[in-house]
Amino acid sequence: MPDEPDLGPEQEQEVRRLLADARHTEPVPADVATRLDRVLADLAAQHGGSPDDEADNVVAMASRRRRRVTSVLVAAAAVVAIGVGLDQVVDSGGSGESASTADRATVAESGGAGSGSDQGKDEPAPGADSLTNSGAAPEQALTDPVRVRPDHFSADVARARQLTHRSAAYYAPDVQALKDASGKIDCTPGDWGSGTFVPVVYDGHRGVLAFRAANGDTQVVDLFGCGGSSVLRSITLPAP
Amino acid sequence: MTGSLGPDDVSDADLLRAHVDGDTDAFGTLFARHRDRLWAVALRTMGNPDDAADGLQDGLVAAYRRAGSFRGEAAVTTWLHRVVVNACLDRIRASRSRRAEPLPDDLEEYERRGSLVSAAPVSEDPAEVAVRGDRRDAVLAALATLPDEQRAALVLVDMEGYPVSEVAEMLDCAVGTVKSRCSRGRARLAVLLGVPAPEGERGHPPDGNPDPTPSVRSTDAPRAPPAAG
Repeated sequence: MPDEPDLGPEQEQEVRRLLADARHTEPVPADVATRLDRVLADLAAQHGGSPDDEADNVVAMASRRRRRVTSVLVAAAAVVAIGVGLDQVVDSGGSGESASTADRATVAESGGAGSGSDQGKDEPAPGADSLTNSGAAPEQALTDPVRVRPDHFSADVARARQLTHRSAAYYAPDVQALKDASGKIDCTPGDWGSGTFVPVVYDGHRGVLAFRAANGDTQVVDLFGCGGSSVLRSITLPAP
Repeated sequence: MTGSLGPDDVSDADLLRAHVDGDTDAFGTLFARHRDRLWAVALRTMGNPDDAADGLQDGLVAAYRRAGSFRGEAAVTTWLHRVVVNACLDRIRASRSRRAEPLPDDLEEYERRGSLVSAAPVSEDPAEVAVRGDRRDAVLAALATLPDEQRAALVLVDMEGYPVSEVAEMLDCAVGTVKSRCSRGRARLAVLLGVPAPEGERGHPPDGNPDPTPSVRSTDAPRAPPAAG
């Protein structure tokens, strides 16, 4: 940033007037209000208004993340060394977020082949052609969390849904299947309701996307942190 | 939550306390009171509705979770703004850490239109509506180029009109820091928006109101110190 000139009183007043004129005066848009109301309702319903419980979950998640730093950094280095997932490492770079970077480097990408030890998981599994196909038993269930980036949430959620069409390794058809695999994916289920669940790594944290049953032309997708029961983010997609 | 009182009769602090105590409706009532203004702050800080909605939601969840940490040292609305602004800035930083933000393609165009931007409204001509829209767009485009902290300070002080001392609490910094950020941000905006300096300020001493000086020299003899003794 170049040196800024010293403003005279009239200039400063003019800039302040311009800023004041550019103030946003409209209320929250209806779609945003609806979204916020739903988040609030979920928070209230799932926690009975007890923020302390939620705070405990956050602390637990953060501490678990810190404990994993060393191991995941090693995993990240391995990813770089074999030239797989380079884009994940570069793209996730982030101001002291080493754990986050490493976490992201170890998870699957939509178009990639995952880690070297997971070759072949992209192959479509029989019976895994649809999120609504809840009767299918994934043959390679829940070994690859999908990376969801905070600043590309919409696109990554849509991509996660597409992934489930490609491989049963990416989703659990119901909460029981998720519980059965919870140890394998290092994710303790919370009170997440019904739906189809896709394990994810979101901003360095383990979590799941809960794809709710499509309602008409839309499908609501909620993001939860492992071990927590509050909706961290939510989005409405066109029904598949 | 409210006993015999309606929600409008309950203070922000009482609503927050009720939420911490387990009232499932209290936080919604509290947030609804301030939602529109928080939205305005999020929108101007983030620069677009999609990111603003994400930032506001982040702030909502964070405030819900951290309500128990509120110590009552500031107004609840100040605390809410602080949580939401921090959520927005965190989101911006996370985004910026991954990619460099290019300046808007049309920024030079905005600079060339400085005289238009800074022109005072002179009529209610229908074209004024369009001019006002252009001016607003130019301000927002220029605002988006400022460092995050400068932008947040200007949004809160100059757009939303909060006192500097309150903004210092919101941004968790000293009053002097807020003033400095605002001053530097305004100076940068003046350049980007082509706000001209008055004639007297271009290489000359300020031509504001002159220092009061007597128009007629006093004829009284200069006073000397009282004679000793």
